[in-house]
Amino acid sequence: MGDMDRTTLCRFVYRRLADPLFRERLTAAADDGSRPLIFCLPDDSLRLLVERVKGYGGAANVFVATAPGVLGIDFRASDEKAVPTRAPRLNEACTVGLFVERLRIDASGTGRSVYKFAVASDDSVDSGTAKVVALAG
Amino acid sequence: MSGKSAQDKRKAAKRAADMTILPAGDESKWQPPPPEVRNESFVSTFDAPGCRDGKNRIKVRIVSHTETGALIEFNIVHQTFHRGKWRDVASADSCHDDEVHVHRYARSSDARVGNPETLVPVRKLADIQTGYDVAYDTVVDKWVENRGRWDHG
Repeated sequence: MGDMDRTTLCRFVYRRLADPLFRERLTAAADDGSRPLIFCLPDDSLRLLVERVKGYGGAANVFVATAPGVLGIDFRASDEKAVPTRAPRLNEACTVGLFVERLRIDASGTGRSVYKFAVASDDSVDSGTAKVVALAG
Repeated sequence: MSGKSAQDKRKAAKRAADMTILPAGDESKWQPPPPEVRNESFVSTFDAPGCRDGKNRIKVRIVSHTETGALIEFNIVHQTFHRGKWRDVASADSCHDDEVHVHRYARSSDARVGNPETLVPVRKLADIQTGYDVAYDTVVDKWVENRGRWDHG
């Protein structure tokens, strides 16, 4: 599973879309009600992922091929410049793989299901939330 | 001796064959589930795999059975962003009940070109699911090839 490429991940999710129980877990929706899907590998840039989510209107169902298996994330990106206090500020060089590790570590034990974060670069800061989704099907 | 000529025998054989084909065809025609057991359409969008500029996307529409969850109907479309709008390149659907097939579109007119290509004949509900899986190979896996064909259409 750790060696899954993007094409394999895409097919993996596509096949499961036929299962209504799986579709129920896709909670991030665009304004028109459709469910955007983004397929990520651990080496992908978190910064680019945030940009892509914005391109879908600010919410997307993100799937990451990790070593233990496919991880589903309800991912929201915000244009608001006000970064929530206590939200970890991640470097723009952060990869999706590192983000997932941070998400798992920081979210465990806090009791919070929604993880707030910010990605900083030289000239801007983007904030967002991520919630791990238990996949069915 | 039967008393029949060779011509009579050929005519009789032809009539017999006709009588076996037509009823079999009627019996094998699949009847889709009634409207009251159709779930609301689910629509999903994702970038074509390997497309890094966000200008080729796949849209999937699914209708399933309210009680069993079985796939009843689907439509999968590859669209490309060209001159300010999303335009259809290729699509596969089960919307005509008797088969899952692929349509291709022309860049010059946005119209469908050629005859639909049959992927899977539909004779039972499970064939819709089979067609859904096969449609991926044709519409998603071959999106680069389909885009190239669209460019020249």
